[in-house]
Amino acid sequence: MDDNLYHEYLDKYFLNQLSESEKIAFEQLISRDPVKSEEFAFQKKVIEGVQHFRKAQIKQRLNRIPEPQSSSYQLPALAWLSTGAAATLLIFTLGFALWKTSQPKTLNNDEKTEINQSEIAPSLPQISTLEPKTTPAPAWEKEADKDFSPRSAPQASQGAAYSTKKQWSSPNPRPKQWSTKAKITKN
Amino acid sequence: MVRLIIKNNGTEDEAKDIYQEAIVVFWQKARQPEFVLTSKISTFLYSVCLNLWRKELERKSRLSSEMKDGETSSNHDQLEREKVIQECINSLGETCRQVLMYYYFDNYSMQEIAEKMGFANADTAKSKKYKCKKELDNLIKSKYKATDFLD
Repeated sequence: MDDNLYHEYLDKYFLNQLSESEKIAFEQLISRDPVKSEEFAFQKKVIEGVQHFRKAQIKQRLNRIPEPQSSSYQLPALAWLSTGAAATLLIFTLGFALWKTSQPKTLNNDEKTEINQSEIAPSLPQISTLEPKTTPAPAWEKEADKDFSPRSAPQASQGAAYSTKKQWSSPNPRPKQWSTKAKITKN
Repeated sequence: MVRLIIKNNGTEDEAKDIYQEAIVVFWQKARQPEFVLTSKISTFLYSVCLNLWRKELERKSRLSSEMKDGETSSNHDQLEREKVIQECINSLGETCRQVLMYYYFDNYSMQEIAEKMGFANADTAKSKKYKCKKELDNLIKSKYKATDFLD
């Protein structure tokens, strides 16, 4: 094998361009010749040196590429802030909605008048039955009771309101239970 | 990837170095016509990084065991020879350096080198490469004997 061919084979060997059989044959040739063995070891180092030189060049070029200025760390902070704000808003909205639904519905004036007063009327006589039996009803109240009937509901509601007010200002003595209670609180 | 290397007795600088090595490997692989990428580039780079770091750890443990056995002088000589080779490559002319790197690192064919370097044809590139290689060999041999490179 002449020098030129030998160097060609050396290059092909180091660049993995030989077939398996060619590779084995070449290795056998080198192992039989000490001069060629020395040259093989030398060429191996030289070619590796060229490869390292090129690698170092590429790495230098890669190092010159500016790294992004910690944008990867700023982004999570912003994301956390916006998520926190959204969560707070959501909690407040849900809380307000829950609070709203848990409140007893208060009627406005228009709704109050729309209620069928005939539904209230039958209950009014029962209110009057709650009055202590010891208290004799005044004559004027008896008169008003007469008007409490489902047929005359509008007047009945007015009468009921009137009767309860009148009861507090009634000149009649209060029931016994009330007076004893008053005594306990005084003591 | 950085986390993986730091967890496995590495530093951030070593992780960066390994990542760059992986990019270089990918660059070299991508140049080969028979290379087929069967995964995502990130997956490929990650597995290359893993292999490179495994090799680096093996090299480190071998070095430390050699240091225990008192073989530091041979390692020092080896490092010194590598340094001299780098200096010799650097002292070559720009054209020679480029031709050798295109051939031995980038695996360019003679035709591709001729096109890249503006040579007349592939034969001119081949002849240029031969001369440049001889020049480099002579430069190195002027500083070392071939027997110095025998392990």
